[in-house]
Amino acid sequence: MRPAKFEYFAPDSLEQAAALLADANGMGSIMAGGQSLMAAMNLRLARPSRVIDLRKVPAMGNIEVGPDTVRIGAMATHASIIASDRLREAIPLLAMAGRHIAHSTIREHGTMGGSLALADPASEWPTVVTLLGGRLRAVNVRGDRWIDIRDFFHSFYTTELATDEILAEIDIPLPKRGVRFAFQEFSRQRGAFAIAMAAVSFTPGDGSPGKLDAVLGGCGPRPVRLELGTLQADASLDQHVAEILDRASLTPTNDVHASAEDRRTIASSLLVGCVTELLHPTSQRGH
Amino acid sequence: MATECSIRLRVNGVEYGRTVEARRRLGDFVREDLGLTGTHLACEHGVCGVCMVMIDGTPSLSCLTFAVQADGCSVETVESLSPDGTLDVLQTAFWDKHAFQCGYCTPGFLMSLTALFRRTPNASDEEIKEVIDGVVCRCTGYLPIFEAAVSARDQLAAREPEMVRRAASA
Repeated sequence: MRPAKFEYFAPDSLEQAAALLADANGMGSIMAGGQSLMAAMNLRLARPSRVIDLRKVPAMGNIEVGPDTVRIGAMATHASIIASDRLREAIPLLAMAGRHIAHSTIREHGTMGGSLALADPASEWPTVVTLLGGRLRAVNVRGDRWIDIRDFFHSFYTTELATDEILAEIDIPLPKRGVRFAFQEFSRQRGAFAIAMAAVSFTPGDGSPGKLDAVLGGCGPRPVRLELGTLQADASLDQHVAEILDRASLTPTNDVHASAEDRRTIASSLLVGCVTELLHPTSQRGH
Repeated sequence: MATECSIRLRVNGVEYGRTVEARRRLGDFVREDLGLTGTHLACEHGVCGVCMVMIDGTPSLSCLTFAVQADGCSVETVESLSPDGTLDVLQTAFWDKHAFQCGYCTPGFLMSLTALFRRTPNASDEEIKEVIDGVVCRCTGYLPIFEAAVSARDQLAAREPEMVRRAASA
């Protein structure tokens, strides 16, 4: 298994990268960490005529925690996101989910920008960034634009990015004070591709029971947003979650790894686990 | 021409300058161009962990890295663990605990664990398991590999004060 021939460029500016991509007439591929693109090239599922490697573009892996948002450079690796103390303090969900990505060697190289642009609906960053909200900056030769994360994922491996656009950075609003998160994922073994995952946030209310929001990964062609509203972590929880999932009419993949029905059942159990964890932090439930 | 690239890199301390096709993967480069056949390629799409090398000290899969991406870098392969042919502590532990049968995956375990112990000399059993989990072995059932890793960690930890002294006096 060898990749097909291609032209390789490692420009040292984003402008140059955009020019090289535009010049490739839709046959170019941007390489971030390369941990998915190169696997696809080895299998010849991807045959770009030109690879534009962003590793020499300065500062693209920076992480900045600001007063209202965090800015994560598209080239920030999973490992650097997990290891950032300031980021973990600002948005704990990122490290909670990031630990589930593949194995440590892959996490050293794979990037948040690469993962979002790849748009595998059963992966961690699309799921959690969809829950957190935020916007993505796309750059091409003519300039740049911001894309809302809710408009970014079109379908399996398909995004709002045009063939000449490069994902440059991710801007995520800081969660409101008191918001707590839970993340659960099911895979056959640690580091294997996920069958399904759930990310849930709990926003406490002023005297009211508080609000639960969730996003499921691996349950359709794009991350699935669910408003759980107010739930009680009691005997009725399984039933309520099942009803919410019924109304959401999930369309999970049916494949050798899990049937669509299994994925629905697993997603339901992950959601129940997350909600229980958030409402009763001491009695963790789930796998 | 961008389909062929001139690269200079250091592999196990030796400088090399070569012209490679852009599509030449680092694992194929060290094996076929440099004759360093200790690195084994297995799944070739980043899931088995067998072809692990280090690039500037960072664990990297050589099937998911093009040789051209290591231009200007320092690469370490499994051969670097025993430059004079004497097994190092981890390799000796693998030998003593029978932590391999066919041996095809062994370079991946050795390089992954070497990377772990460099960063975390007192790695917990849990951290060892997580690293071992990243490499696929189809023969041994992992228990002897875990035992070898624990044994190597304990020996390295016992030795650590000596290494710290040596580093301080160097």
